Amino acid sequence: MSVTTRRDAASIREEWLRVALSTEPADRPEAESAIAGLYRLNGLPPPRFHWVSSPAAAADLLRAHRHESLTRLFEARRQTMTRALDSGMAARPGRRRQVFWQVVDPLARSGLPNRLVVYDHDRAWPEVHDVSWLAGYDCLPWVPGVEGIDLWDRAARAGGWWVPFRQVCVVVDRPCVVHTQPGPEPGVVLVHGDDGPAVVYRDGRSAYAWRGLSVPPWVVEEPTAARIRDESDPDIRLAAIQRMGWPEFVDQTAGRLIATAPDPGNDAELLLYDVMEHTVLIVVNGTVERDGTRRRYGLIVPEDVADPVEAAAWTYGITAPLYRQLVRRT
Amino acid sequence: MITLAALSTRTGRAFDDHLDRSLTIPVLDGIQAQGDLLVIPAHLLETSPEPDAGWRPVPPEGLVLLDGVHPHVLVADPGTCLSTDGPDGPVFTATAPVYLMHPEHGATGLAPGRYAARRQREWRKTVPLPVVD
Repeated sequence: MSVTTRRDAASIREEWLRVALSTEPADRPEAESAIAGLYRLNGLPPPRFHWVSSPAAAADLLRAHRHESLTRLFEARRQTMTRALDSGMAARPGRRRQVFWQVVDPLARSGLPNRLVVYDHDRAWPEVHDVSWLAGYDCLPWVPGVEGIDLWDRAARAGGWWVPFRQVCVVVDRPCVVHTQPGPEPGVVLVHGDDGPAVVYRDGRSAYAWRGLSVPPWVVEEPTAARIRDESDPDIRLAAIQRMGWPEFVDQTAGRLIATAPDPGNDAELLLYDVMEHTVLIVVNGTVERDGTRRRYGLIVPEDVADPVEAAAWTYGITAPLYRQLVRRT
Repeated sequence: MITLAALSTRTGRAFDDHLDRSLTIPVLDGIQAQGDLLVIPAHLLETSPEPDAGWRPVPPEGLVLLDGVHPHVLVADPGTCLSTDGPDGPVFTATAPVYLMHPEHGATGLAPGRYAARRQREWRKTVPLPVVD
């Protein structure tokens, strides 16, 4: 029996990441064939396929058909299938753990474009479009006698976010633009649009995301201190502040200055502020930008820190006396 | 003595074009920061990182110590620097000056010795998150 090495696992993870981030038009015949196969496994005749270019374009259709939704039926069948795969799998627990940590977990923690699709009718359904579970089974041995996994695999690779109904299956084509940035851990990728939509669909409709979090357009297009103060969701507030930049936000909201101190090894001041629900250290880059200025940025630090040098030291996980010995910052 | 221009030529990696490519890069033996990366001489740490295995030579094109939007790359002459994974980040040992380069932050030189690298992080109510620079 073949063994999944670390490199194999990484390349399988990369392959599924490419699938999830693809901006190629969906392979419609292939997607329809795979989805029709899943209908057949549920004892249903093939549906009529209704393709749309964006989730927003699908909204009316989804509302019109909501009473004949088959998502729960398909999801129950999928769970029966994954249980059969898990119990029939000739893989040692150690190998499964390896696949989980190297492949499934980084993909599950990635903010991928399918997360931006809002589907309220059945909150469990969007999870089937998460490629992490498919990537995991891709690394593990084939289990004889379990039907369906190849169909889910083919439907995901052919592209399209889909919702099954009794007469019709609504399928959304892939977006044509996807922007991302690397996540905080190796292998994690976050959908992110610095100064515009993170995802643009083929009909021109778009979706905004900030470091993997789905956000309303104002967060990226016109974040203002007033809007940020009025926002009730702390994650959205934080995204809007990061978009605006902590220094700008602190200037506009007159955050309370806790203390200042010279930055060791850097010709600049460290400023520690109390701003809304955060304690924030404003620091200055050691290197000049193209326009001759030095970029300021803010870092959230623990609430009980009162000394700017201690705050700066905390961000690197060292003590303040050690940080004071810093000789050069570039 | 080495310049940004010389490091670029050696590694095939570019710097932002507004940085002065002719300046000599200083070689220092203390704690240094390059954006979101900190390098600490191991003797200054209370518990010196003692990685037991997996020492690898730093390749001619450099070793990415910390990847993000832009990588921090460790550059060394062949045969002068070994690196491995320590408990809190990469650890490396150099027998000749080595250089840390970053497209936006330029470069800095490190005197021979053993160093531990730490990545900057931010506070979150639940878990601290690393900074992506």
